[in-house]
Amino acid sequence: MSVLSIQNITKFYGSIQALNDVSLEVPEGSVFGILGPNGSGKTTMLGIVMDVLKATHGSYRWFGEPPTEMHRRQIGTLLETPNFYHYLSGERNLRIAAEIKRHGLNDIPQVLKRVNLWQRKDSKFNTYSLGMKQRLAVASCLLGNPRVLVFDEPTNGLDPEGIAETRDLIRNLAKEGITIILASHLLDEVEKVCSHVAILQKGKLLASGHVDEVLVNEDIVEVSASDLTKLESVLNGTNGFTHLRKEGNVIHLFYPTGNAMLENINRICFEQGVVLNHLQLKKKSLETKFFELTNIPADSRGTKKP
Amino acid sequence: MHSLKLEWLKVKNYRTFWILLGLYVIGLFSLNYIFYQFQLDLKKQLPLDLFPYGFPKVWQTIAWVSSWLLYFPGMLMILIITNEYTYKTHRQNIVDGMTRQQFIYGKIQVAVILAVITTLICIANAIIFGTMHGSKVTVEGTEYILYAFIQALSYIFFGMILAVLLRRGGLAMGIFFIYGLVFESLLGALMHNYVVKGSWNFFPLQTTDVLIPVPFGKEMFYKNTPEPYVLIICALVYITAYCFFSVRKFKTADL
Repeated sequence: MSVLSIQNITKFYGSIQALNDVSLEVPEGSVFGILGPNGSGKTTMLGIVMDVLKATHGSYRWFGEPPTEMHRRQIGTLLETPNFYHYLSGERNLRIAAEIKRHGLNDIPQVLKRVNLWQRKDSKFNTYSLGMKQRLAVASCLLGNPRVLVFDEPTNGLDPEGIAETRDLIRNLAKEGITIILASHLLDEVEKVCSHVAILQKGKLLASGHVDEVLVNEDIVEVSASDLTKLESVLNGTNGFTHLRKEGNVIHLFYPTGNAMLENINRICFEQGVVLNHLQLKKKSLETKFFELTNIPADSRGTKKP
Repeated sequence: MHSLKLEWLKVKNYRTFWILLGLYVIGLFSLNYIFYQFQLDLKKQLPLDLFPYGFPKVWQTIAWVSSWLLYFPGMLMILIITNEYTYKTHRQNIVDGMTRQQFIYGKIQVAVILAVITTLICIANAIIFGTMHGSKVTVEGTEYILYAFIQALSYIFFGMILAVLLRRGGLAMGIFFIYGLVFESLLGALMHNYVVKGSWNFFPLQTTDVLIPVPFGKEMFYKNTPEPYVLIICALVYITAYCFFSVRKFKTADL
């Protein structure tokens, strides 16, 4: 069953189109990454499914049903920035959230401890650092054992330690079976924690599905030797690779996933008198794939034609 | 009731709100005290009752004097709503599982409570000053308490719709004050002189101002004004419109 299903959503802000006919399905139990540069429509999309923005066209369903506030009470949501009453303490802010959700009041101590804010629970929100504010927002999301978590840029403003902690937390929550929808402009964040991904650019959905499906991976083998010309002709004599590219003093060989045999390459080169000084298998990174999908050349090093 | 409980949780520990509300209560008492003393001093020299603080006239005097401070609860209303926009907590409330309707209904309930508080303070002040003046409490004249309540609703809901439409506290308060203190009179006078005679009486805030004329000035300033029931109907139409459009705006807009 889909936890969230979005059908043909289009959103205009005046004459500016923020979303263009976006449809996608978030499967239950997935960690669903929504990836896109800033301004690609990620927050707009999440705002629409949480009813703070109105779609110009299209519809969405939560848990297979037309959306109501009852669904939102089962979802922990961090949208864009931590939004709390500045003059209230962290704990009192959570009490308001729990009161709105109508459950989770007894979870407050536990969630505050989980995000390491128990010591500061009585301090006013406006005395918190950016990282603490972000952690309080995560704590608020966890009230009342939600079935789904929606995190919009959850590591924004966190220090490296906070980022690592948040990612661990997301992984642990995913293990507990909670569906997580995670919007991010950080590729490695999505790569590290997500099972599914949707890629947005300028309001258009470029791809969506299982990470392995969307990112049909290629194996890339980096090979180098002191005599590059000879190496290239030897490698051209082998088979199995789809194409070959020279980059500086390294040759990149592209294979369909799982087809690269490093031993073979090494042996063939050695037999033909080329001694390798570098041989490495690289999975194609999400970043390369992302740039490919969004049509930004990955190796745009000023070699553009006039 | 749930919306109201949430509003209570929001203001319960909001010190600025309580300080301003406290100053308002003290202000209402103090302003009446100034007029009360002025009247006492005046009476020693001239046989004039400009601001009668004896029953039954005290109900009207208190209602009129207190109306000068109605910008204050209007400002509190603006503060409570625009705070939500500033902190984006209106979005968070919806996201957490409130309906848009519940949210704005909560604000409407706060507006009514602020008007009730204003009215109760007027009643208390009337009893205090009337008794100090040495007269016995009368039921006669208490219609002015009803008028004061309607006037308070008018001002506070006017503040509410400005806050909902403008979303920014400073701007909403600025427009609230300048409109109420200057522009309504200007527009009203222009309408009265050049378009329709008497139309000034039906401007949003003027309607209830006319309902409670200055005690000594009914003949001087408010000649030929409409009957109270006409003014009350007009005020209620405005209040309904403020609520209707605030709810509609909040239900349909991007938050």
